[in-house]
Amino acid sequence: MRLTEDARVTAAALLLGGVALLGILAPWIAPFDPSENLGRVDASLLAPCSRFWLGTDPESRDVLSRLLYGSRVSLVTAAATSCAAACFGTAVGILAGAVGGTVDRILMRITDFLLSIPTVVLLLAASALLGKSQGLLIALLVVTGWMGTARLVRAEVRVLAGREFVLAAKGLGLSPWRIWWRHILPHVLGPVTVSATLGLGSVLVAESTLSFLGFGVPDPVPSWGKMVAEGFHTLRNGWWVSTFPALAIAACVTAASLAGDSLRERRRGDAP
Amino acid sequence: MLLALARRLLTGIGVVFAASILVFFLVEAAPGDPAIIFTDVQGAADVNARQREILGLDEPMPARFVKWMRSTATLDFGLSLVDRRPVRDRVLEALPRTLVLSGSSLLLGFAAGLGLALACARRPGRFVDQALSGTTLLIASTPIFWISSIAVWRFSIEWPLFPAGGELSTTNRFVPGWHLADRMWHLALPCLVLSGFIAAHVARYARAALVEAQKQDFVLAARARGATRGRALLHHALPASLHSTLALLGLSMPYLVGGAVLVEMVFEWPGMGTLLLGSLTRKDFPVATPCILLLSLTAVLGNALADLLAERLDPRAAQK
Repeated sequence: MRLTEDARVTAAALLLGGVALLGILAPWIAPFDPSENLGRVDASLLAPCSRFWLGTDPESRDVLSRLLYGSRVSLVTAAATSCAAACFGTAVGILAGAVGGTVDRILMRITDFLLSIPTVVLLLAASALLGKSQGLLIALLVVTGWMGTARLVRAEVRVLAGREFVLAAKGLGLSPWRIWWRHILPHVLGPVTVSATLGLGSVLVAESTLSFLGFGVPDPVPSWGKMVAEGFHTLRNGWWVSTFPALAIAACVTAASLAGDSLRERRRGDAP
Repeated sequence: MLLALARRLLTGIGVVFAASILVFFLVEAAPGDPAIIFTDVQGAADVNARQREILGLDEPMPARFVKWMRSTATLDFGLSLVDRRPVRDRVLEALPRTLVLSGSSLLLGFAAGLGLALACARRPGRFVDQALSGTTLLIASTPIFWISSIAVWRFSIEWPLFPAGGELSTTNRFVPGWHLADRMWHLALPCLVLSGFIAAHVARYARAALVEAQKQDFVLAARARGATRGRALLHHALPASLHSTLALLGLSMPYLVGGAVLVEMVFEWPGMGTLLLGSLTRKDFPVATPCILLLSLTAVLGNALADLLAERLDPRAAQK
């Protein structure tokens, strides 16, 4: 069982790493310019063939090139968001768990509130009001994505606060900052990694959803969600335009969930 | 029970007000002149001033905030900027449709998901489990808007089994029961897609809960007394696992409401989701904001319902 778990994490990591690598190498390996209209004659909606491996979209652009460039936007957004949300959530969790009292109550109220409203709805409204840009998109996704980590870390910190080594550190007169940084933080990093990995998938979905609805990154930057949207109206004449980006999203999200689940199982197995 | 219900309702109202405050400041933070953003008309200075007056934007921010809170409390959001109809009418038109679609999908999806989970948990780790778990993970990972688009394409356009969208046909035949049948026919495909999405999530939660429950001593004891694997699963593990499945379902309610919104948008089901998207793209914020508030309220109430049901179904609670 252990072996298959490891194999799963490895496969998932390889897939995500591979996609990231393809995104980084996009300028060198993409056969065409992602936003160039290739139609000297009419090259719109060509089926996958030897020249255009994944076909072309209604505007005569190469789907493979757009997919490769799109992975940059999608993965950079997802990775940046997960990291930032994990950091912010950890900070909030430690603050709430370690300080307690009113601070804890206020922070947890905010957490509960944000957890109880549909993220998609909030994101939609915010991006419709505030405009389109990748930076803003990441910021919005962070604002709506840190709560799970914060709750997890808070619970962990409350348990840790009663453990001997923390009491000892307190008894030695160490400053709270030092206790949080040196004695509590290393212990919560494990669960935070798990929740960040699981969060990666939901951020990918959220990003593609917003892009699909036309509230994601501005044109002409391709992103997977936007490509699905562009192919939506041409499904009848060209299934390839939206199918390949949708499969790319599904594969990356599945990989992230598999990796997260396996990491969590492994942590549970290791726990005393 | 009643006390718990009242507390939940109070939480729901609190969430609506918090969401309302959030939306207010979002609108405040929007770049550009609200008078121009809202009406999309760049006019002369006096025209803009008149617009500001109509929208109540000539008052200072705190006064507008108080007014805004009052409109939330009285559920009176004024008129739509686009068709000048009362917002309340438009929302009350859309809300039942959303409830019908989400409610039927939730029931169907929950039943299907539970069935899948039982099939998986019968022999965890074996072929059926691996295959079904893999499939549900894949469905849960695939963007719902793409599944919906594919469903529309396959089953409404390529192979026109179902209508491609909307809630009713434009033609009406005067046959008794035709209206209802037409309605059901329009509901079928979005409901199937949404319940598939919900089933995938429920199956994942319920499988984990069932596998966990089967490791408990009372299931082992039942097996030792000679109960078959199926009986131990259905009569001992399942009742014990429902509690945590429902709790997880309740927690993911906001996510599921988000999914319902997306399904509505693709199928052009004229509910809250479609209303929200339409009003956001037309910058009709007086309509968009109550949609946001009501969808949040739906998520909170759904969560509360799941929790209350979980409490009722907990075998330990029945003992008392």
